Amino acid sequence: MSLKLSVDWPRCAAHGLCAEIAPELISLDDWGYPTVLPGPIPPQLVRLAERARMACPVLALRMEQVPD
Amino acid sequence: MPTSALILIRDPKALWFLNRGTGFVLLSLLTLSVVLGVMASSRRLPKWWPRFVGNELHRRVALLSLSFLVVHIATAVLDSFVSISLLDSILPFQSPYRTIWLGLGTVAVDLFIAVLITTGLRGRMTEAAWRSVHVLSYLAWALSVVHGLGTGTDSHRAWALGTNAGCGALVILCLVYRLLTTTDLALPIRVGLLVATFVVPLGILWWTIQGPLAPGWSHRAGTPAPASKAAK
Repeated sequence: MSLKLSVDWPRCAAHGLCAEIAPELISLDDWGYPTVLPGPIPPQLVRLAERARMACPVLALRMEQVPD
Repeated sequence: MPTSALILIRDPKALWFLNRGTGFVLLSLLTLSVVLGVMASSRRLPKWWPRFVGNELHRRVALLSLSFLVVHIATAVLDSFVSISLLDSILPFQSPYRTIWLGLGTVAVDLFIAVLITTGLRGRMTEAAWRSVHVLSYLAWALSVVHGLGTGTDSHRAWALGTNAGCGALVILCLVYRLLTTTDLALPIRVGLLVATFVVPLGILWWTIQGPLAPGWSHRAGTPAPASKAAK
């Protein structure tokens, strides 16, 4: 099992905080919406991903366990 | 022993001064927290403004006000000048000292604690549930202002009125901005809240003039006889 980031699209309002906190994992497109790194989160970045998830003003960033 | 602790022992009034002082610091910090909180939830910010700074600062200022709140409550309880028990900091409208106005502060404390706890659990709640508690911060802020004006013994002074007016103006500005830019609420609700944003402060202003600023407030607010005599 490993952790993966995903975006709850109906909820996301392009605040852009996630990309400011975790640029290693998330980048923004031209409209300010996030693109998350595909594949599992590297173990050393899990804490950063959690911070980005908590920083979202509308809790639109999800972190899920996925089977390898 | 540190000198500050010595002062507290030597001068029985020190607790009282500290209590009043932390009250005004709290008002300023809570106002700053509201302003930063509104900025954190806004999407129309200049590009150069680092968003996470405002967001993290909002949390840290709120936590800083928690430590001032502890001192504010502790000094009120420890001070023997007025009869306020530790229970009065949680259970509103119990103290004989300015029952209503102290009680409103207690309600604000309870709301503030609810907001802090839900934010601690934010990752495990739905956004709607967290938000429905978090908006109570506005109510807690307004209650603290009325508590300060009604309980405070400095309310009539120019600097105290100025601080209250300044903090009030900032929060009104934030609310107007927030209500004009939000898209989450239906238009009639937004208009209603916008009207309330002006009506509630006007109500507080009217009450301030009739109440704390009018002669004999100390007596009418419910200051027990020995304390009010000593206050003169």
